[in-house]
Amino acid sequence: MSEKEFQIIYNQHYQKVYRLCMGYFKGNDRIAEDVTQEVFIKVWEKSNVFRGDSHISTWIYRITVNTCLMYLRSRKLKKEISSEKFPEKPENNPDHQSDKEQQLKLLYDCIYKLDELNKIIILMVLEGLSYDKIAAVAGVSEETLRVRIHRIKKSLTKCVNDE
Amino acid sequence: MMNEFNEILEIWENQPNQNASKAGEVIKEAKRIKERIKRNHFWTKLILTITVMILITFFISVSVHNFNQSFTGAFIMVSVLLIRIFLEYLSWNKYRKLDDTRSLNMYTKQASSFYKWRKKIHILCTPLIFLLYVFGFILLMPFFKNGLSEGFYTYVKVSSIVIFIVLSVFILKQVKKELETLKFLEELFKDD
Repeated sequence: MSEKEFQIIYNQHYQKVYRLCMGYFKGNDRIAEDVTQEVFIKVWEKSNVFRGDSHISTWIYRITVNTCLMYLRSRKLKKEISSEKFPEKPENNPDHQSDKEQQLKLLYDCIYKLDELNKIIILMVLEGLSYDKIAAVAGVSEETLRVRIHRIKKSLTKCVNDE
Repeated sequence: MMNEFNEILEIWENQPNQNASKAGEVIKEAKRIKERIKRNHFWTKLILTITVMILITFFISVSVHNFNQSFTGAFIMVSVLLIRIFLEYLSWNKYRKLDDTRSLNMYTKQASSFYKWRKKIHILCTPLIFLLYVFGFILLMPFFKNGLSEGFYTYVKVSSIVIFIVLSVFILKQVKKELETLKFLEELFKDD
């Protein structure tokens, strides 16, 4: 892959990868930035082994979810993420942060409560990936995926409404 | 339910964009990391090769004239240390070969099999290496007793006990962390 080709891919995918990392790491922007950079370093290094038998975005999402998964293995990071302050309900906290930011933080918190696989799947749903792409990234059948996604949507919606 | 999930989608889609660093900077960083790994590899190999050669020469020359208990102790300690370094090097190479461009399911299987291999090392090799290392040190004790003052000999004895305890706690923590990772990986797809 030439530097120019990489630049195009980078610009097309940076926000998507960053958002997925933010969702995975409960809105911790420091970790999300680090992991996003690590993902693109891998994309650049491994671009010569990309065979083109899947779409480039599927390939990048695979690297992203696998990198996120292994990044969290450090206990210190887990502690840092778990101690992220839980947001108050928007109506109870009328000061600095806007409602939208509060809602987003609440959403991050609810996503973080899901188990690992569900977390990864719902983040890809939120990013608007088609079911066949999500199945290809996660390595599960589309049938299993559909059932799972239905359950995750239900539990995420419940969490956001209850908190 | 769908309407409510659509609200969640709206929150997600309306989040602010992050200022991305330039693609060129990522490439530079990738090249820098690659160079650093290559350099570290070179020096590690060089230092290890020189160390092994010096030790082999030393042990051969000493064993001709003076093969005693202290020599055996030192030999055991150095040998198990080299075996440990070799096992870590092998592990590092295996870990690097995990292919994170595969699907999450495949990657998890690969990583699980890596950590299962590490588990075997921790159960079979680590305790044996640790015990042999301590044994080698015990064989060296008469050498310290003859060569050191009584005060300093006591200091060596006490400090070595403290070091071994700290070392075993450190090893146990590391093993626990890796076993937790294995458990985490094995549970990921257990429902599918």
